[in-house]
Amino acid sequence: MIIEFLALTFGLHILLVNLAIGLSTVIPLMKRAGEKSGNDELILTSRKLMKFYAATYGLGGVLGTAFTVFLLSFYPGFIGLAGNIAFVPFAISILLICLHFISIVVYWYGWDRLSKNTHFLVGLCMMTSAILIPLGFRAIFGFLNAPIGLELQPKLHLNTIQALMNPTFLVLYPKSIFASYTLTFFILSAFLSKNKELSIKFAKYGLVTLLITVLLGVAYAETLRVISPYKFANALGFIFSMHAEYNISWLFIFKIIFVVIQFIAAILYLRSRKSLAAKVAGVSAMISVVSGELLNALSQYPMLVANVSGLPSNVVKQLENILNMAKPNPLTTMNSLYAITLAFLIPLLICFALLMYMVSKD
Amino acid sequence: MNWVSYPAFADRLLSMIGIEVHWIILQYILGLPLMAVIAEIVWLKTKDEKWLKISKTIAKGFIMVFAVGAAMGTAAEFGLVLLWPNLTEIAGKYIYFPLYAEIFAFMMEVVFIYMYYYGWGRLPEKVHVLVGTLALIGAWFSATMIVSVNCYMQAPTGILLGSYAKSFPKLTLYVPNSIVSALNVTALQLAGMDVLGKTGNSVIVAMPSKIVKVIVADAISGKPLSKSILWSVLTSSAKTKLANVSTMAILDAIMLNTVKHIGVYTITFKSPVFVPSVLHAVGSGIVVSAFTVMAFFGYSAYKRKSEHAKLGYKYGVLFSLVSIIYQGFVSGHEMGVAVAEWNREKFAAILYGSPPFVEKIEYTLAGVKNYISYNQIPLWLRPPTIIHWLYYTKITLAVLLGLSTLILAYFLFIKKRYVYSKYFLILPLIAQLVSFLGWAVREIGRKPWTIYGIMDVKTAHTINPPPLWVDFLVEAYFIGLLIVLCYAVYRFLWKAGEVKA
Repeated sequence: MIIEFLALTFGLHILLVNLAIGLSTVIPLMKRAGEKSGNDELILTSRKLMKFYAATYGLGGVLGTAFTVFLLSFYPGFIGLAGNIAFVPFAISILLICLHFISIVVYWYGWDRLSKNTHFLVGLCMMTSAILIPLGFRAIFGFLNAPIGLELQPKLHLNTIQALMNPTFLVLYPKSIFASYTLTFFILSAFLSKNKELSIKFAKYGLVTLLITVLLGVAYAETLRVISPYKFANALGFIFSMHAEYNISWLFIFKIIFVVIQFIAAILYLRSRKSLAAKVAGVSAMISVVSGELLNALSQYPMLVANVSGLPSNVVKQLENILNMAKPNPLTTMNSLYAITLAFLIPLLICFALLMYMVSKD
Repeated sequence: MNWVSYPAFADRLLSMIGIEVHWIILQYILGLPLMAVIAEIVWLKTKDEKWLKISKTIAKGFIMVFAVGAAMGTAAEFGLVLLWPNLTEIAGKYIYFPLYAEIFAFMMEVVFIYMYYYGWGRLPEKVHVLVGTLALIGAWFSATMIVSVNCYMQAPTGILLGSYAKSFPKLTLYVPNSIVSALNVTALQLAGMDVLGKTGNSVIVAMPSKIVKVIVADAISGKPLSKSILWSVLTSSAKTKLANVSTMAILDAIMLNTVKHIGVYTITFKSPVFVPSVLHAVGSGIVVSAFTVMAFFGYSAYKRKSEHAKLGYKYGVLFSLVSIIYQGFVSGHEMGVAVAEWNREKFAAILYGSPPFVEKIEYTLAGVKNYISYNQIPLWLRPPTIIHWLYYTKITLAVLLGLSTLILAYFLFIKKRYVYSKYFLILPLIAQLVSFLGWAVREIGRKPWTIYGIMDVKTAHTINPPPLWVDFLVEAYFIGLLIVLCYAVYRFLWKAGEVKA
């Protein structure tokens, strides 16, 4: 159940934060475009989107915190190790989260109260912080692919510059941003299907960013093949007939199917203008982003750091238990804990769905 | 002893500022939903629209600050992970449950606080009140979980106090029989360990904290048993078998067994200071909220003379009066008794330098007969004496707050006169300061420990602390964010004075 809880919270978190990155970009730019062109409908649409975002961004954050606390409870040694070495990447993300949250508050409550230029500047702050938040977290993901930058002398520490030069990070970060845009554009294309002009525009944007994401995805796979072969073999080594310790390639195929579906659905929508096609593209984008993230996270199972071959054997032996997902904290393996978790999670997620429905109904 | 002289001062200061910014904001989430829901219930009963307006204005206040408070909570959480990773690891291993459950509380807050705001006019009235109540329960639930962890750090479940000459304080541990058989029990007893009893699979012992803290430090630093303090108390046959076993493995075996016996889900709630601490922390949130509401509506009434603002002011004064009486005479008193009984060193440091008659009064009020003075505490257990000044500044300001509320209430309810001055805006700031000082006494007074009797500050600290300039920049950043938030509230809520929900 531990992996299922981690996957659930992480999957929902990823869905909401991908939407957050996209909306934080679209909202201020759309409002600005409306102001410049005198198009009130753009401004009104931007406001509606902001209202939705202001009501729901908190849960994305809370699910991220939930994921961290679950990790802390299930794998406390891993969090202890990460805390001791990863100050800079975590600090980058956390400080930007604070900035992002306050810029949301000022942007939402400053609507019509701040001057247009000041309001736009706050919007740019909201956008930039959202784009930069994943920088630190993705650096951690890169580290989990292969611990580049980990140095043992004079004491265990992380060489931040080297860590930021990790090839998997350098590709994964822009891929994540473009995937966020693809998801948001297709969802907006479906959500705004009554405004055909805008909806078509978002579908076109979505297609472009989808193509870029796919290209970056191929590059990411190649970096994994080179520096994290264990993970590569688990995720998609079947293509190259590689031996997989924990074969999860079915998730890769699942993801690819939905990438293809969103591509076809978006093309169909541009040709036929039928809103069903836009909805299919939006839903497929959500499924492919979540499945892609889960594929990335789980393909290194049971190791929390996928490739430790560069570390001395005595260090690997010392970290063996800490970095093994199959060896959780013994106090967390009780069925009663899972029952408590489900008893809280299920009604709370239902209430959240109700909140989303209430806000999107306006 | 000087507060600065304890280890990791710069990182302690950074943690203090980060957590305090979070605490400044989250107190409104503990108090304002209560005030908003009560005002809404009064509106439902009386159908007086002024109460609805009061409720909406208060709700808008906590909606505005909630998100930033939550973000600062995340920052505080990661601050603990990054600056005190060894504390976080130990907490995650042995007392994870309240942190785990707090996530559900946090989710309750996020869902129901926004539903309360967006549900106005969309949900049936009684359902709306229920949603507000659930938001309030979420906030108090969250506070209870976090405070319980802090209580374990102040007075862990199983801590035993007694004469320093007999090696107290000691921690109750359930040592598995397999480990007992490897230990030279006589040597441990000579070092101050007491055998308290037995269970089916373990021996219950009272282990001196001076030994526990070294075992924990050895375990955290990755020492094998052959280099740990335990080496000297292993039997010779165990030495040949266990030399390369990690101290952490032994610590884990003892602590996990102890937690299982005490209660995996309940261990932090059994801390002897848990109940008064929760009552006092939630009370603090209510006091700060009440004074802020009083100042806001008072200012609004003073500027605009509107009837709903005058009623809101009355509501704020009444709430302030009741809450500060509760905080001072009920929860504050209970907290003081708990500190005197379970945090003896802290209490002695609070009284350090006080005239003997004050010391006597404080101990009499706390009901403690056999007390110690600061100079009787062994050097390695002494907390910083700065808490003496912090405590008495807090008490003085709290008394001033109480008196000013009493005067305002006298004029308002007895003389039926509306009294207000723009200088009253300082009252919520003083309430915040009192709350900060109380928290500072609690946290600074725990030094030299991070978890009393178990882990000291040095052991909890990261092996890679950030440079000083980074500490300084992050502190400035947090304070800057707080200033921006205060300005946003002032500009969009306080100055506007009217609700546009």
